[in-house]
Amino acid sequence: MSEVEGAEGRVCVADDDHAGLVDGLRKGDAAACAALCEQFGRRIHRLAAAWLSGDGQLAEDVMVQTLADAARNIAHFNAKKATFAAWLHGIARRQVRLELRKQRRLKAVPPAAQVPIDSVAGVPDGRDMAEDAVERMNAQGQVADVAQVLSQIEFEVLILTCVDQLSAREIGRVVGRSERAIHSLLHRARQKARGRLMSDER
Amino acid sequence: MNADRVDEKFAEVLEKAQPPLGGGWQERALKAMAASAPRRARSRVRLVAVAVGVLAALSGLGFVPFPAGSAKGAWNRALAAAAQATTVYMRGREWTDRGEFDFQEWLSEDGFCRHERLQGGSIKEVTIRGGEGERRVRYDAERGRATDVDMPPWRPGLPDPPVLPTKDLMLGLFKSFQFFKAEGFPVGDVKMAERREWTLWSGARDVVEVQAGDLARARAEIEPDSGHILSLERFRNEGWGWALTYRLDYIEWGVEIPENVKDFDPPPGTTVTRVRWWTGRADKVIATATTADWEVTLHAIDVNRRGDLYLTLSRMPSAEKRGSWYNGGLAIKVDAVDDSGAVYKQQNGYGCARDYWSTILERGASSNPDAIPRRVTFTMYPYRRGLSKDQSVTFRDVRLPARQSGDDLGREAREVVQY
Repeated sequence: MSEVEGAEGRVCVADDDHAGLVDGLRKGDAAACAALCEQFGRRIHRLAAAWLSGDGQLAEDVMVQTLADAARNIAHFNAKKATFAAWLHGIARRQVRLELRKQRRLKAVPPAAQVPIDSVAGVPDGRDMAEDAVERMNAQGQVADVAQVLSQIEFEVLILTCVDQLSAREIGRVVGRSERAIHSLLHRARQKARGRLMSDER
Repeated sequence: MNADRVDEKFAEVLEKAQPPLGGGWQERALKAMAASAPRRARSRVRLVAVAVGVLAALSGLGFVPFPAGSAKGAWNRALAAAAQATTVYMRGREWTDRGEFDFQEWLSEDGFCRHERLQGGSIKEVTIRGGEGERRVRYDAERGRATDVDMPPWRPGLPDPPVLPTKDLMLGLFKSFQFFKAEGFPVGDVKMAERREWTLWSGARDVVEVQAGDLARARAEIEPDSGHILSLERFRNEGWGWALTYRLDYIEWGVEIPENVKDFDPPPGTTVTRVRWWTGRADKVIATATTADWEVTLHAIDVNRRGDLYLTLSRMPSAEKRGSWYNGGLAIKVDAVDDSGAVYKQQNGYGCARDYWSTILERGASSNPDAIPRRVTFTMYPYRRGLSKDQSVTFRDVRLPARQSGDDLGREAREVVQY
């Protein structure tokens, strides 16, 4: 990705990294769809899971819907306005908000996110699945802890930074705030999150 | 833990917290993508024919507005009409970070305003300001809590005047853009378009559209004869496109404000916190001084048992600067030293309303710990940003009142009532 000066003096963002992918999606190419899944499926899922308090099934639905929406509306993607990743995250964020509005989920670990340990029978790769599940629940509890001390927008900005390492400009595009506002939100979010994360660090 | 470590640690936690993806998610996603192939351009002739047909049908039915010329000055007429109105009642819908709400609002020229947010017909949040002995009440049904705070008096030059806030229906939009610009955010230019439209159903109406860069925009419909705003929509750029954040779709001018909406009756189970800090403090003046851009007033000093100072201050732009935009959330910095040599440290916690501030100065060690300070010299920096950054006022040898018995005077001004 690089920044170039546009004809009218505006700074445009050339999203070189995903130009091929975007072209393929515009042509309805099946290989491009597979590449989209490969490159962004897990990232969107992780992002959605964090926003949806660890509800894996719902996060998967959001991820699938986001990828489908992106493929359908690829004609509306404008590389001069946003990078492909920022555009895609914007769609994911909208999907998550729709879900949250529908279900009015609270910032806590919902029952759906709690892994029923007794249902985990098979251990395909030899690891202790029960231990895995406990570790995941603990981590989900920590995410919920952090979410509790942050405002919704601070939480979103922190996740976008940590999960996908989007730049402040890209995050600004996703959440509809200026780059400077993102820096300020991020600073506050880190300060607030530090206390919660530190207790685990000691 | 530095910023990078926070990011790294949080990324680790998020990774651990990620639930496993179900088997076959890729097939599911590919199937969904295949089912929603990219929208392709259809035959242009067919598209045009369909569009013309639909347009003709809708025009015939009166749904599609016809351009009916310019409406220059519509915005100013709307502002003038709002300023003359005595009361207004509005209904609409808001999309906020906390969810989607219906809202209703009553406003009157004496500064009274009640704003209710509803979901499924039940009140979720109430904000009341103004009215008798001006105060602000906020109720949050989700948390079962309400706060009821007295307000300091308004003086010309301070924000948030107790006049009919209907002016703010659209002016607020300009205010925020100007604010962002003043703070150096790249909002782009604010553009406004005024035009008249005509439909079979509603006759002529003026349409005002405002857009600031590609961050936010608004659209208002105005009744051409009276200048009354009929509807208003606000949009914010969410990255993927314009998201509607506010829609005002019913507005009635000159209504009688019902008595039962003037106060808030908390439902059983609500915890109400009443804060009465400003009353009896904000209307007094101990000292006042000006810088090139600001007038700073020290209204009151309270001293707690340990000798910490609770100051009540206010900040006002100078006469030349009135009407310009500034960040009302930027705190006033205060340095202080007393006649026993003790230096005071300003605490982070502070309260503010209408640019009146309450701030706490914690007394540091003095060379003579037993000495009881009688006088303090304050240096106040009203606005530590931009051209005003280094401007300050000094109040020398201000006499301290007697110490009060409590430790946390802010808490003592609060009363918690369980309903």
